[in-house]
Amino acid sequence: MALLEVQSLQKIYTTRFGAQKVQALTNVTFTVEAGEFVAIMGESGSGKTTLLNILAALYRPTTGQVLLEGRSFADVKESEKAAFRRDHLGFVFQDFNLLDTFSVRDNILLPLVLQNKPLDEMERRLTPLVTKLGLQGLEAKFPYEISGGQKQRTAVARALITEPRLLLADEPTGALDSKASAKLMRMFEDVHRSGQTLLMVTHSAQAASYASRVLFIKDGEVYNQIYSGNAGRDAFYQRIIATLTALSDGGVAGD
Amino acid sequence: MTKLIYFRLALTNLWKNRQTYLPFLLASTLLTFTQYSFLMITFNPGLSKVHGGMQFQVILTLGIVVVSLFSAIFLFYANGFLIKRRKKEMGLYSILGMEKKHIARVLLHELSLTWLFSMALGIGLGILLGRLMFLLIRLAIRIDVPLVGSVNLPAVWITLGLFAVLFLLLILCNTWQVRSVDPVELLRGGRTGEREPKARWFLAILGVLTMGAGYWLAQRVQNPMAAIALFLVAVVLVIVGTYLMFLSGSIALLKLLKRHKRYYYSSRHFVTVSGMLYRMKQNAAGLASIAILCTMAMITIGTTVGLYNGSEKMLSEYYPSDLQVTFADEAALRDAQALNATFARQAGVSVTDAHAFTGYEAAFAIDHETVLPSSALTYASMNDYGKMHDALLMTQDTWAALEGEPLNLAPDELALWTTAAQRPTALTVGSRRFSLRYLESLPVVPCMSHGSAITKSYIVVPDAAAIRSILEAAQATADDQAPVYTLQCNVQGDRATLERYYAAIETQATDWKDHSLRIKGNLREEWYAMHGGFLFIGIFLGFIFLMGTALILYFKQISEGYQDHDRFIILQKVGMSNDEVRATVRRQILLVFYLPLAVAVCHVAGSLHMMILMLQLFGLMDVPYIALNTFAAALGVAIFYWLFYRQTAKTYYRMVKF
Repeated sequence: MALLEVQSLQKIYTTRFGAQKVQALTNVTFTVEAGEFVAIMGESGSGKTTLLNILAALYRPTTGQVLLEGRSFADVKESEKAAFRRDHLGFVFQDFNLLDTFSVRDNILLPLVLQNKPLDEMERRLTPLVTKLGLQGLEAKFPYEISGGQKQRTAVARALITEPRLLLADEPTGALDSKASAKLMRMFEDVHRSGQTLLMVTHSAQAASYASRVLFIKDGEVYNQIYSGNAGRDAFYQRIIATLTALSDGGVAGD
Repeated sequence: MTKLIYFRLALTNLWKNRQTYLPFLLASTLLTFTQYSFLMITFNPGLSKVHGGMQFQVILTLGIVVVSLFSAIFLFYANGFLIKRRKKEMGLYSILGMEKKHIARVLLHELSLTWLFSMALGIGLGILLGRLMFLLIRLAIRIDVPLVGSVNLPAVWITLGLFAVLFLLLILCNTWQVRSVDPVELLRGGRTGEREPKARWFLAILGVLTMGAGYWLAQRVQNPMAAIALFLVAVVLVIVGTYLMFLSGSIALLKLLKRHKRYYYSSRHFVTVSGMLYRMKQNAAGLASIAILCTMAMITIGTTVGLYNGSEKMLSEYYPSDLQVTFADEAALRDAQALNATFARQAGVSVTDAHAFTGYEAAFAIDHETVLPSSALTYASMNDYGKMHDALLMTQDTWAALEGEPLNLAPDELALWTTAAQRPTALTVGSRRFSLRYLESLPVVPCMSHGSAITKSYIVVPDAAAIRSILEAAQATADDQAPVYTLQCNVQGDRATLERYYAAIETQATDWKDHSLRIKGNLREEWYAMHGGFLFIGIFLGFIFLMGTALILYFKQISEGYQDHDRFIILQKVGMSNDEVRATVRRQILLVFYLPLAVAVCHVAGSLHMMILMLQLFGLMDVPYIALNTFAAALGVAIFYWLFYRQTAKTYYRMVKF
């Protein structure tokens, strides 16, 4: 059984007075196996963010459903949604979303504190994670004292500390320079190798080339998907670029 | 033409920032209105001629000074807040090509407009409500203020001038603010990285010490004179202590909580503690000000209402009888007794409780169970004032005739009725030593020729020799060595007959030698003028303090709302449910809400002892009554605060909502 099953998702936004309808997702179907690192690419307005928000259980799809380990999101009660997200999913955002009132250490521990985990368990999980993400010595610092790359790694640590089934990343390199981006993606690769399932939405072919599979979305549908195979990252990068070119050259579905 | 552009820009700015400028304008209007009303009443041409008018004018002048000071502090605070919020906007102007002097000129126009609006509204309101104000004074304060027109030019000019000076200072302050910052920084505004506040232990401990000293002082004073002298010191200590405690103490405490890991790392406290830490950093001064203002409102309203309502009670403390006359010789007393009966019969009033007696009046000190002349005390310690006694001395025969109850004193025994707190069991007078018997009730309260703030005592002695010993020990003057012959009585009748009766007495009194005449009714008028005056400005000032509280509260909520909005969205993304977020917001808000109020109630409770002593100076002795009044005022202020808070909290929730 796949870890995540996305079945014919459709999302239609209605303007406030119902006069106009905007179709963000037409028909999206795919699955993610446990241990996979999937990147989703697409142009602005292709429906990436809508898809991610549905996967994050923040939005409800108009039709279709999402299953995590066979359990449908629709079956999760509204009152349990927050706990469900907190316990099963990890999030990394483009603009880090760190709380400026917390130190790096406290930002990372935040989800565990919300889960009411005992103090020694927090410590036990924190130490290896800090080492893995290269945050040693920064624990007592505050978000305004560290670099963008360090902020994003703090956010990744915060997402991973709950040991989520699935890590969702929304343009994680969007606010980083190329050096910090490369460093972050290498860490994603490490995390992936240690068995973590990741799903990342990105604009950057460079970032996507670290994934094991890339899905392309256009006009609210899965347009194509390619696997990295064994040819190495550079070759995969070239194939992603080629697909993107084909994607933008391909006919427009109509206005 | 260009002038018009500045003007129009200023006008649109005010309109666009109306969420914050409207409260500012309202506050400044209310201050103008109060100032104009006080001035207009003081300058009422007939006021100084009516009974009690002078006292009222003096009290109003006091009010004018307080309002002026408060206006200055308040306008500066509000202006500072508004400017800080608009730095980004100013940065944008300079990016768009406006020079600093142009920005300063826009700000100048804005403030000028605000001044103009608040003057027009405030003075206009003052003129409109002027008649009502005069009527209010006539009815509530019982001063017959002439009902003249409420347009008073000197009052208008002074109000205009005073606020013009204040606004000019604000303009200078703003110009300096704009000039001292560079545009890039202006554009960034308050968005520079927030540092976590440091716990400043020294200041926190200093805060505890000053606050403790203030409270200690307030609890330790034992008599009214000391209370008056030390009141200001205690107030300053407590105000400084409050600011330090809010600024450093709160942060030190939160840091301590944070260090306690098992407490800090739990879902209930984690977000609250760290959130409060930043909240306190930004708002400590505002919260401390709210606490102080609430305290001032509670005390001002509590004491003035208490003083006014207690006037009748105090009158009977000072003047136990409606009429009292003292003479230096007995024949005069006998004459007066006969005349009094005649006047009463002629005027048609009935006289009751008439008593005549002989006594001696003396002022002395009692220290270490010994009677000393009042000059023997150094008054280096404030408590020396508590050792002073204003006493009426009587033999036990006189006492038995007056009170109708023989005391049967032993030769070395004194009976004593006193308001003093200290009650020794024996007393040394010169070479004699007396044991003391305390009297708890007085069937007839004998009048003394002068009521005062000093401890009042009635001393009954076994024989005339004991009186002489006491007078000698007190080193009484030749005047005080002589006996005082007192006539006292109560009088009932309607207004016209009473007037006739008192007029006859007062006319007759011009022929009496060495006498002192005291008519309760006359004092009553003076007192109502004075206490009514206090009540009048007390309620006005109380409302102004509350308005200050309200405005600070409102500004605080607004400035926090936007920041909290972002913060709570993140918390929600990280997995906090809507309800959890709401509960956290509520917890923080309630903490911030109750803290100043709790501190204010604490301050009021702490000041109560001192207030009671000071009110004794006015003759108000009833402790439970004072306490009741003060706490009623505290409750009233708390209710107002709560109502207003609920209103601002709505605005706040609307901002934080996601």
